[in-house]
Amino acid sequence: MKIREFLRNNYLFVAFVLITILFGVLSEGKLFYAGNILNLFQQNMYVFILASGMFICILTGGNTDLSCGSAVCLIGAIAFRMMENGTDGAVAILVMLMIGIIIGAIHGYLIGRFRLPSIIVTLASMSIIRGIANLILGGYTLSVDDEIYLKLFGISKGFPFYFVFVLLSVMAAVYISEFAPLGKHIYALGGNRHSARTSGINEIKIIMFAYIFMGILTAIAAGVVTGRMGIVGPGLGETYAMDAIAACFIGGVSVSGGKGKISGVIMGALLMGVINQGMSIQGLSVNYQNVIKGIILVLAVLSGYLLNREGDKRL
Amino acid sequence: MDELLVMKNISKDFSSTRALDNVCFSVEKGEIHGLVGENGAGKTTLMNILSGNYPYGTYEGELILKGKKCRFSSPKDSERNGIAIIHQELSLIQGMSIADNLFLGNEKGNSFFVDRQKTMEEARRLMALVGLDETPETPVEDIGAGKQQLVEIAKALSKDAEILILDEPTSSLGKEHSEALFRLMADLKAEGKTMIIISHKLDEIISNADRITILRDGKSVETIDNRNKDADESRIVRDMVGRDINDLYPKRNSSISEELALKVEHLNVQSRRRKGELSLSDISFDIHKGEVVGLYGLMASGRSKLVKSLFGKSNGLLSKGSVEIYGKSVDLKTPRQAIDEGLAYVAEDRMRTGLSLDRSIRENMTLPGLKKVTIKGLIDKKKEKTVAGDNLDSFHIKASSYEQDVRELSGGNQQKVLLSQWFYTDPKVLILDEPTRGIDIGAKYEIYSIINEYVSSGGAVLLISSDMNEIFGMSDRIYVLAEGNITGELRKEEFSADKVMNLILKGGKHQ
Repeated sequence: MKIREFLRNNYLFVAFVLITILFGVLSEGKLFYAGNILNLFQQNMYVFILASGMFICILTGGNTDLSCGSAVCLIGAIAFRMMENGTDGAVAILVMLMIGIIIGAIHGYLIGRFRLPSIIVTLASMSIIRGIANLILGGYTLSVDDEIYLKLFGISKGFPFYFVFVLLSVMAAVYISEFAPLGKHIYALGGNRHSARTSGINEIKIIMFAYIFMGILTAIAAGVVTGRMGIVGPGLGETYAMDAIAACFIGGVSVSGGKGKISGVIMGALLMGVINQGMSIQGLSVNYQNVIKGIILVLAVLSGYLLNREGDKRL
Repeated sequence: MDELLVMKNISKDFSSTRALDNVCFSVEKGEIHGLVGENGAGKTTLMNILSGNYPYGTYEGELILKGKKCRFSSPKDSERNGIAIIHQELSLIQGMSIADNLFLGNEKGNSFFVDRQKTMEEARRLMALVGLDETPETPVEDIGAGKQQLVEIAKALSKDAEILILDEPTSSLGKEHSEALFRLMADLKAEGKTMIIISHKLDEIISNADRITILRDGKSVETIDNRNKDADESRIVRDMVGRDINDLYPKRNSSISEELALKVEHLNVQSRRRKGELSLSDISFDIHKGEVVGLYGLMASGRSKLVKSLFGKSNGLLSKGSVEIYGKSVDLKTPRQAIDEGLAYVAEDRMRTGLSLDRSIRENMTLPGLKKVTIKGLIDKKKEKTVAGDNLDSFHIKASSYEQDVRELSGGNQQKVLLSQWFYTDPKVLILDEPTRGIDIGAKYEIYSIINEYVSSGGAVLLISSDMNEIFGMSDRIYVLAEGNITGELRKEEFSADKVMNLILKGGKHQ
């Protein structure tokens, strides 16, 4: 019973330690090289950013955003095309934010106002957004040489702004979930929709907010991802939604919303990072990585259920 | 006298049924006013009008608060006027702390930051008022139902409510917590607050309320002065139950055999809300072949839980006990097994759990008994049509054809479709949960006739109903269920409202 109690309270940490050791041993210690640790962070920045937004969406009642990876690709593609045609980097960045906000507002309105299932809405928009992104790219990979853009989002030159962006994203989620009155309303809505409404909480407003927040973070993620690589290609972001959702559920956020802590999500994102990086060092192909990540997601949700289940037996 | 609130000639209709009919109800400042009546008498509807859940315009009549006419458009609106309702199903967010629940929607601090210190201070002050000594950070799900009730009251007090409406506040509380609640109510009364309490437990009402208003069938019967806590319980019961049973029920040629159709012994069912406790304990009863057995109990007594547990644990709660159908011991783990062993359960809420509203009558009729029209994994459409046609006639279902969607039928005809689908499974024992709720008298009569025909031909029925007259009119025997226990059994010649009410009260006191 004691072991079970300990596992229930710390299963995330235990999993993190075990998986880190596993990949540490498999890579013969290479995982812990300073260069690899920095690499780990840089290559998984998007997980932290997108998971922060996804966390807020899920809290409102299990609402996810499957389209965020496609949106990263679209936002990057539009910005790169604009800069390719001579638009100023600063203007391009503003446009990126705008697109993020518009996508989020549309999601929020459809899900909040009409109570459409988020999974359907964002599945549809994922298809639409991916399609438009591919049309803009026309099958090509675009690159960027805009000074401002690379300075702000790139990883090679000068001050690590990218680090600030990740920190800001996570801190915003911390502020919303821990300190803002709005956060209380978000938790209440996810915890018991009916009660929240009788307490005078505006459901549409909350869900709109959550998805617009997600949209802004999607734009930021698009910036740091494209800035780091300097290119945008057709397949960009295909696993991002999966990574962000997995980080939340591995981090103990309730599948139906209303429960979960940002600290858990950060832990979940770290875990996803170690898994991504560890498998890359092992030289596993993306296909193997996808298989393994999928299995880990199911195991995470299942173990959360098994550790927390009550006497109840449902049919 | 100082009349704080007057509700005058209130009427309210739900589609075709009249829930309230010219009800008059008035409350004086600083009193505890008891509101009693049978299930469906209109108590909760009346309070929902007062609390703005049914906004102005959806009912007829006048609502006068402190001499001023009020037209509440929403619960918020009524709250602003000092009225707070505490619903039977508590509306707290389980995963959130007590403090966060108290100020949900009215957080302390500015619009950007919650002032944690002020939240905790205020929470502690309010919690002290209602006698809660937990820390404000405690999640609501970790405290019992009794304390959650107190949190609800504290929440109402935080909004400066003058009139508190408590809808069945003690239905899930033990004796100790109930007493604590009434002590708190007395304290609040001393401070000048006014309270309206709805309860099924007449002894509680008599020993705590200053005046008692009785509703029956949507009408106000009378208001009794109870300042000396000496109201006559039997008078209240008579007011509540009222009329005699007339010829609403068709005669049946009773042929009850000695053979037991269903025998349940020592059935225990665990509680969903309180871990490790039982919501039904040591339930034993039997039904003979050819018999209609009534099961009467109030709303939260566990009636539906009992039959759902019996019907293959379809409520998902763990249960233990022995069940025999015609002498054969069975272990029913799923509804499928229950159906295969000859049980049929006609669910209480036909719209939600009984019928597939957007499918045709034909498809609904063969749903539980689909096996009978299936040949090698395929549905025999021709046979299905024959069955549907036959049923349409024998159950007198009024529909354009058996291809009509069930949604388009009237309540009575939907209920008949529901019955017909279960009869098609050839049940040995039929469980009927509120079979006539919300349907008109003519359709009721037809359904009673169908039941009679079934038991005359050797069936056995367990009938659940909130309508005491229906139970008296249809049953050969009655079991009374209160607080998760069977508190008594009455034979036909013993049927009386007083006896039933006494058995219910026995359950309350016994806890």
